[in-house]
Amino acid sequence: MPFRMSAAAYNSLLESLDNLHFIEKKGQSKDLTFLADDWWLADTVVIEYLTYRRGMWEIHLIFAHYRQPCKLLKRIITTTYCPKKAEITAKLMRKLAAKDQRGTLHLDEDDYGFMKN
Amino acid sequence: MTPTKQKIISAAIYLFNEHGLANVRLQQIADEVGISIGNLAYHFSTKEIIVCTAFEPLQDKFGEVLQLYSLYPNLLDLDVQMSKLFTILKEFKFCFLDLLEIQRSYPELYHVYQNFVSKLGIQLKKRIEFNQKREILYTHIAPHTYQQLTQAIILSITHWVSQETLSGETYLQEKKFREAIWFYLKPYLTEKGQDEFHALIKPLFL
Repeated sequence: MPFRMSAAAYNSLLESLDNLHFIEKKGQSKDLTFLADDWWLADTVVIEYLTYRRGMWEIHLIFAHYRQPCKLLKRIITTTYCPKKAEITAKLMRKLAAKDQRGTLHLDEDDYGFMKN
Repeated sequence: MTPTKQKIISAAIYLFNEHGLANVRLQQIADEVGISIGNLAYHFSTKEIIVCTAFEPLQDKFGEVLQLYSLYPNLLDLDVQMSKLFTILKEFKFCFLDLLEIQRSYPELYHVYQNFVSKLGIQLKKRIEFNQKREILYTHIAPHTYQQLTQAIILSITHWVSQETLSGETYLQEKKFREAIWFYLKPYLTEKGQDEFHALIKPLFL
């Protein structure tokens, strides 16, 4: 059975198409800056972090820039009851989220330059 | 579709265009392809099947014409669509010359044609409204004028091939067809519309 469209529906479809001409505006280069804003995430070390809160294990992922460790992003990924399951899930999530699959990007506390005195 | 079937359909379309749908016999089609009538009957047992199969590419082309709506946000949109439509008028002349025959003998195929024409009518109407909003066509004119104009354009398209054939024209001219369509719209173009017409459409006729 071929697809059929009523005259009224076709009419309003064309109306919407025509309206696009009056509504739509040309995009500007700044509209895509959000993409450039996120490029630093490609150079981040992904660290998993577990917290126990209200009877649930929360899995956090921290994305920290490997050159500027203070530039970081923290996100709650999921929650689970079992600590073992939380550990495994966190490990998997980290591997999945890491842009650097070989794991060559590394951060340790010395990179933060904390005063240890 | 096998190459033989394709050859049969091409020959049938050619003969339908030349002699009319009702005047073509299976023997003529077989002779045109250079096969026996028995061989033709092996591929297509009746003339009705040949006509229905010949209509399939036409149906696709109807779709292609309708897809051209809103391709350009200016008058070029209609001109491009009419140009494409003309290739159909030329390639499937029989469909427009033998409309009554199609309506009587092949109501399903006529329904396909009718569906196309009604959609084309809606597109013309919407295109006129669109150009009114763009201030390309006059807005303050007598009521129903554009409705009648749409009807007149559709009539012109439908009977163009018949009219040209009756007046003894053996070769259909695309320029003449497009000019006839623009002839309807030109008196309703505003000053802005005239400028757009001279900039975009007129050079195409030179």
